[in-house]
Amino acid sequence: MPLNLSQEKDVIAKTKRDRRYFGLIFQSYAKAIYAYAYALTKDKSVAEDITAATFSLALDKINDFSWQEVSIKYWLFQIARNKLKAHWRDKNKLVFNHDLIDQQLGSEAGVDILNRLIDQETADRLDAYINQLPNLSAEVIRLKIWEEFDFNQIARITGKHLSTVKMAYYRGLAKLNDWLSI
Amino acid sequence: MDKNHKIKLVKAIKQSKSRYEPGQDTMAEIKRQVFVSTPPTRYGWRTFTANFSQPAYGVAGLVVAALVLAVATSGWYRPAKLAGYIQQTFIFSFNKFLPLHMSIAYAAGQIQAEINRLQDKSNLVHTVTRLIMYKPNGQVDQQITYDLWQDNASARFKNIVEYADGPVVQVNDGFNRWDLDIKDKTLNVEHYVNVPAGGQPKAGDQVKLLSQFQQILDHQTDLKINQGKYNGRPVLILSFSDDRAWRDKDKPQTLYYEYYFDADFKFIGQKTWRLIGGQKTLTEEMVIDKYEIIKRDQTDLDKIFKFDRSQTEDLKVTEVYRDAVSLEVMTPTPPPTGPQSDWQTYINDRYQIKFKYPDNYAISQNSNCTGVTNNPDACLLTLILDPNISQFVPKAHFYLVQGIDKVLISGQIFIIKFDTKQKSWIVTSGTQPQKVLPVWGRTLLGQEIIMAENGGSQIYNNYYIIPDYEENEVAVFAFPKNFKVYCTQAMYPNHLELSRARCKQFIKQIVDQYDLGDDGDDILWLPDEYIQSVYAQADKIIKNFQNPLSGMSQSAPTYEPIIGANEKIISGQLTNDCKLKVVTNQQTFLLPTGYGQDDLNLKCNPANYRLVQATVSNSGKYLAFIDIDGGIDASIKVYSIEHGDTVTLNNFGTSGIFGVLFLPNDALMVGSGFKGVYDEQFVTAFDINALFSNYPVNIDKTAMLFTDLSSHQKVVRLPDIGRDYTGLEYDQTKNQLNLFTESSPSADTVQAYELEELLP
Repeated sequence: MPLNLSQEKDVIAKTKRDRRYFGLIFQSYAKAIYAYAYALTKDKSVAEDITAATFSLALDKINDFSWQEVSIKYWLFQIARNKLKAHWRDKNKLVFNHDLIDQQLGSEAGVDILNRLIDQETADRLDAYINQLPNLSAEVIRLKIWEEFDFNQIARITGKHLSTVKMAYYRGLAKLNDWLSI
Repeated sequence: MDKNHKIKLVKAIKQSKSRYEPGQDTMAEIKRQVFVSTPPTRYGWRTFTANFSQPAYGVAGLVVAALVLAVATSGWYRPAKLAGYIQQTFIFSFNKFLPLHMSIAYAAGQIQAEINRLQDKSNLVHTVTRLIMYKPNGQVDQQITYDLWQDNASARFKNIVEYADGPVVQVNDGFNRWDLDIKDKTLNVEHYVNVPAGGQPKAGDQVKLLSQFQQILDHQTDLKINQGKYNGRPVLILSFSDDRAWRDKDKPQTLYYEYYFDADFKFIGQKTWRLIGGQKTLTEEMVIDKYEIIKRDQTDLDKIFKFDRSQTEDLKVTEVYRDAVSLEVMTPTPPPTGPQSDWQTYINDRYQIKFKYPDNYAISQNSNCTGVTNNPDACLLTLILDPNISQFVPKAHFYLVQGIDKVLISGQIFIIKFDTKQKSWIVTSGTQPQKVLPVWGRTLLGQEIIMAENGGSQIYNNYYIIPDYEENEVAVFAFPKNFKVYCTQAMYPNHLELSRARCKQFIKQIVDQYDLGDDGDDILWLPDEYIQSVYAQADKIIKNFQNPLSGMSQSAPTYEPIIGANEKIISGQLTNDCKLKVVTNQQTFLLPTGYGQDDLNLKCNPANYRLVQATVSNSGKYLAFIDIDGGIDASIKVYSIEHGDTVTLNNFGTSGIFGVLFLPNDALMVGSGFKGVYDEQFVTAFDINALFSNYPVNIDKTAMLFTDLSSHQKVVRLPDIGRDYTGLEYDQTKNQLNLFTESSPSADTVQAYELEELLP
């Protein structure tokens, strides 16, 4: 059960006294961080490392974390983003699996994919389209729609200007719409 | 974009998240990485033992560990080089709060005020305290005995503790206890207990630990007082836990404390546990061996306190380090191979390093580590050690580098670095075969020191490399070995002529002193003897280097995350299909039971089953219930909402369980016995909080049993009354447990126990 803001504040205060309470924070956000890292790296083991490193650092630094009426999730994503940056720096590039995208796109263009997506409740194919978007657009769309961060928060997490983030989001959505309307 | 289309699109994107979420195995692995650390095998020596688990340094680790093992088993370590381990472990466990640097004038004032105050007292309490440190295997590691003089009428006291390397004076000002640690020149703050107003504390009372420093309170949890026994004596036990990172870069470690007080609330002992290898292990004990009230006129306070204000030369706060050294409350005995007592100490709190250096040295921070690494990001700290002999004498340097493999000491010909394949420090060049550098020595804390010389056309240094394989940091001292003075170089660009003249004068002095017969030259290789004399103390500086992060590393804790900590159990009830229905303040769920395991179609009538005795602890953290195992054996199980697990406390076989109840402190009382066998009736007390405090280390996860109940359970055989006992009740007014034989407890109570008699 996700924590509400009030519970989260309480849990963080308790965690500063008793590290075991961090389990609640972990339980609430580990999947989201993993999904974010996995979506951006397309590598499960890297996503696992990033998630573990994010929460380990957060646990180490929890005493430095000051509550500002914003979910700790925001802080966790900032840490995860930095971990991803370090990963990208080491890898020297973003990881994209174009073969997978091509394979997933297949030859079904022209049908009402969107309705089928919803009917099938899978969204796999849409995901292939998202992966074809520019990196920032894909990341912003996921942060916005998956995690419901506002644009200001996304700008801070990604280190981009607010206007850039908004543009990446709307252009990405428009692009997806175009592709899906073919 | 059409609005409906956009909604569909957003919805579809949201749904796509699920394909990226981790499975249970992945979550379990991530959780393990976050919450479970590799446990050390021995506290205080984690640096070495940890190396075993690091393949990159496995060979070096084995060599070092073999040395440590040889040292540890020989007994040689006590007074000699490894004394640092013992000493540091001790200081950090005893003076466990953050050091507070302050004016010695203030300390002197405190001491004097205490003397003045005690002058009016006719009686003093004199105690002799023994502090015992245990090895993880339970053997005594070290004992220190100290005297303490205390005002009989208050908590104020003054004592002198004899540490291995010198005394520490402690002053209690009635609010905080100030520890004056002469060696480290610091005053430490400790707490003392504020007993609740209105008399003696009793079981269940909450007590406060007072302190000016909020950070102390921030880390202390589970403060409570219970009754119990200590060395066979009934005592009040103040218990609490304290977890904190000792230094910024450490993970916090939970320590568990118990303070024992007799019936007069007189402090008689204390124990400390810490998690070692995931096990709560007794590491320290304080025993009051002697307690006597002495007449004031039998002693002389000035002699007891031995504070000679006249020896305090300079009381300026800004020079607190120098002041501290001159405060000879008692004469500290410097370590025989260590630095002089009047040496200064360089302490860097951020990187937790410390070393002593001669009084004539000046230390300043430098800007880069180019001498020992070509990676600017790896440079944590660099210092210039100036012996203040002459501006023309080369300076020594200290470097702290992040990353064993980032160290690269490049000379004109040779390169010194760590070879990750050989797991050794090597010196290499383009033309000669590489050579493995041996361990040259060890620091006070036992860290290995590798020494090698390297340089170029103007300077050759002796490099003393002190790697910390665990923290992946390397400390390097560079002391000049050879140096060529060039008076043609501009030492002061704005005063070139002046500088050159001074330089030539310096050269002349050296030439004359060493009879070099090379008068008048602008260039001179300083003689080795001269450099050696300038840096004659280099060995002592290096060997005194202390990096607490390795030398006294605390064992890395293993956290079992709490899941569901906000939840409290409200009730538990057997359902018709033989499940235990648990209602919490957040949800309702079913737990499996042993009923009906062999017959899935069995219907349970709660009224006919013993499980009806499911009972919730006062804290709402636990639900205890009687279950059946194997279709016949009665067992007591406890469900923990924090951990989401049901654990079997005890299997009572075919004997009956006639009562289950929680006491206010979550201790569980269970009455059991064979029906009709009147001399085999028992009451068993389980300390549930204590049992779950080590979850899941003390649990057999296959059988879901506590692996060792011995220290947290107590069994009392009930007297034969010629009838079966039928129930238990807790009498809050009298704080006792009543046992009765019929359905009416008040009318048929046949036995009553003080809780103290029953609790483990």
